[in-house]
Amino acid sequence: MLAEDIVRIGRPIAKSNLSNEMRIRWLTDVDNDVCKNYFRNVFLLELEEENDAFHYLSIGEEKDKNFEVDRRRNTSFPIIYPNGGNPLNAQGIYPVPVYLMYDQHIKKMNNVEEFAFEVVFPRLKKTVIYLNADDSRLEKIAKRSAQILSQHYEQFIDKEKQLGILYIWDKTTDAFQKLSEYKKDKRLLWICESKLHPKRHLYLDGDVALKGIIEAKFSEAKELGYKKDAVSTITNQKEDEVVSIYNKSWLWLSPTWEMPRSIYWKKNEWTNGIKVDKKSYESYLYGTQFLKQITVPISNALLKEMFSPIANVEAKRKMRNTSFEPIYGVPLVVPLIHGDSQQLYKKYSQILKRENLSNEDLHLEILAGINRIIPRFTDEHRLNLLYYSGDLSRGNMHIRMMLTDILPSVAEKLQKIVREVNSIDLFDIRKLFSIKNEQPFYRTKSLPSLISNAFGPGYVWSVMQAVFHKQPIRIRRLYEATTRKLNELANKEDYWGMLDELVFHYSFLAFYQKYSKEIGFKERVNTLSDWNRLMAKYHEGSLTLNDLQTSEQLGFVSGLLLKQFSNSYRFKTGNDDYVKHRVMKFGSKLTPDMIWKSGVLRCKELKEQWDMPLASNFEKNLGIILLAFIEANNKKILSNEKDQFMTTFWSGYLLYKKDEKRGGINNGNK
Amino acid sequence: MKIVIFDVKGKIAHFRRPDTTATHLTYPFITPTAAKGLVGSILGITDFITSDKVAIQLLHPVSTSAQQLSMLGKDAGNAFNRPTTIELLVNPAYRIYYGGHEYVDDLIDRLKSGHSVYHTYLGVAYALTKPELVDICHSNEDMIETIVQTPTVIPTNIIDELLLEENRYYQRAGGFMLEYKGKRIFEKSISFLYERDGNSITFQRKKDIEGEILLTKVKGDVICLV
Repeated sequence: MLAEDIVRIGRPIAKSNLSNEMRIRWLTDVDNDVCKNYFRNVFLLELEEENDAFHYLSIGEEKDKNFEVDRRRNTSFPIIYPNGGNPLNAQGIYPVPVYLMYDQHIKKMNNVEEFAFEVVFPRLKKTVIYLNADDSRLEKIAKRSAQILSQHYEQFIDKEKQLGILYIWDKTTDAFQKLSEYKKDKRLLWICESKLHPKRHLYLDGDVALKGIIEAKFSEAKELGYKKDAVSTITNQKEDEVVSIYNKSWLWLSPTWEMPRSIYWKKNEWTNGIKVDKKSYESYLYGTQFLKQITVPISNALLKEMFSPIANVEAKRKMRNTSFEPIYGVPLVVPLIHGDSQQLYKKYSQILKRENLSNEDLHLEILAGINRIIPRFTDEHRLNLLYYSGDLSRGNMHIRMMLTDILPSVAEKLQKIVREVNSIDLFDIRKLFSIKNEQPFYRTKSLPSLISNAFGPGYVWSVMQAVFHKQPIRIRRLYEATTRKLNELANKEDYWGMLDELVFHYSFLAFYQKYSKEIGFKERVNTLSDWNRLMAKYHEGSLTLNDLQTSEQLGFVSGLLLKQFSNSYRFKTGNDDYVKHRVMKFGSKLTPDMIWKSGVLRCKELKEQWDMPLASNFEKNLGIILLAFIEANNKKILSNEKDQFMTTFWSGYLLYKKDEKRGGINNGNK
Repeated sequence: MKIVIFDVKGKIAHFRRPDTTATHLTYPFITPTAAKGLVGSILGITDFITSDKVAIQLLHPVSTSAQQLSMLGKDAGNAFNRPTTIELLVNPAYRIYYGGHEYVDDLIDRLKSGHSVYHTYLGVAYALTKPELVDICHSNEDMIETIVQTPTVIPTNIIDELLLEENRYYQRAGGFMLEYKGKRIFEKSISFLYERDGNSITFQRKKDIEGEILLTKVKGDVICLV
């Protein structure tokens, strides 16, 4: 269950030695970009038994028409931004008397009665530190606050729309302190210098504020169900108080959509499902905040790689990077059985701070397209990757895939394989095809991109799931897609495009080879060394029937043969390419049968007719290849494995180079 | 204790995780509450509350697929279509060990005759299944061994130490609802360890196992009833 995982993630954070300041930062909206403009106008009322003072502050500064909140001070103003409802009314529970003020509130600050009883009083009633205070005391505070504000109304009022924070620094509560020195304390959060006692300073007690924040959040959750002396779903123990876990702290559980609510439950009876105790709820809050912070969108470029059609080169080229709905990725690491220790908290901090990381850590950009780095975890943990799209703020989210229970060691090996493919194999493949480009190849750069380009967008999640769980994968689709694309590009004579496709094809085969070896899967694919060996034999003219037993081998040497012949043909006839001129018909789809009957079979006749000076290896190879074609046809390989044949045919065709050792003219390569 | 063993298979299944609202995620295998609910369906008891226990064995590897559905309605009464993503289990197959003193005999009669009062399904009404009786046996409730090998899924809270074996892929599925109190009210949760391909798991069990969980032997195999 996701909620249970979130509690498990949050527990080490809740138990950690995180400072009050950081905890407030995590649990409130002080850093929320939506709230920055409230910090422009802070109305701080310094209340003592007899005296009072008014402070008009701005916590931050204007930079390029943008207000930037001062992050060194904003945690002293623990605001909670309301999710839904009418924000003009007192909403939820407030930890300390720090309230968001909207324009309508600010504009009526000169109306003492109205402001005191419609704005301040209802809020004081819902403030944790005043929960036990009687109404007459709260009425007094409200009235006194309204009077101070009204006296200074001209000082802050503006015709423009204003947002602000009303801060009632009330010395009679234990939430605030006044000290004669300015100091940085783990517990106390500095607000500003006192006006009543210059050179003394006003502080917010972080412990009290934090307790209030947890209480406020817990009380907010009570709205959808609350029980006393009930069993918590998370601890399985009877607890003093439990609340429903469904609320808007974690929008995945937002009750906007009421799907899991049984028709037998009333609107405020969500506790019939999952209910949590206060401690677990606190962990849950930290967990949700942590997940919010590590959630990142997948880059548009990668989305294009992942979800463009793969069987048509032109269609993919025409796709815009922005044509795809944003998808967000969330990595979760949880222990397999037990253990939520400080060790875990340290690792979580590393993920957030992105420090002390090494190459051996899991770079999720490579593995999952998520720009996060996960430090090394043992195999007693599991990595879960969660992908979703949609508008979370409306509680409208759509899960795309949840890849669960990934072993960190498997992820590490996959990362190594992808890196090797990009650093070693890609280099070798480019060298073989005489491509001098040393730029990174986006299609092979990450695992999702590799998989999607090979299998197509419809299979990206299922193949990723298989690969992360070390299950065998089949590569028939790779051949199908490559053949289609090569055929399309050959018709357009886009040989560079064809090379690009072949580079990807062989890069994926390199990945597949390493992956199969890793998981102990027996299927073997031909590697570059196999093709080099076959090419050397071809140039020597020492091919035998045994060398041409598979459709791939036969396709490859047919490609070499026709290219060699084509070079000579062009020289002799002045005509275009042999394959294009004689074998392919305009717009047609080249097949193994056409290569055999319209291409290879006619070489001998044309060679005699045009008296072509082909190297001695040509005749020797031609005989063997023709025999191999008859054998392959009898075995029905040509029709059953046409994609493999065609892919390697174009590989051989585009790879063929005259053999320098044997000279140009004789080799049919003038 | 009498135990009846039956298999359920299907092309798809979906055991809704209660902790996602707009998106429908599934547990990786049938939940104990769903397995008991299936028995209630066979017996024709609409709100099936029982102290009988079930153990679950995976017969096929766990495999999932996310699909989009168009569903009707946000609230009851306001009908409109909206796309909803649903995670489905593909080719699920489970062996259910059902043991206890309340409904076992009735269940045996029903399974033997192949009759079921209500239709039986794997989590959602469109994932139909027909339970097939496999065996009926008695369990020896005395378990003295501390090292246990079991083909069923095991609650994580009874594991003292997991004895790792080659070529096993251990996974954890957390937060299953444990007790059904009637009228769609649930209490307590339980987390399981399972082997992805349904292979057996060997572990050292804790000395004191809580009352809700029962390790017992059935025809030489240890099963874990919850």
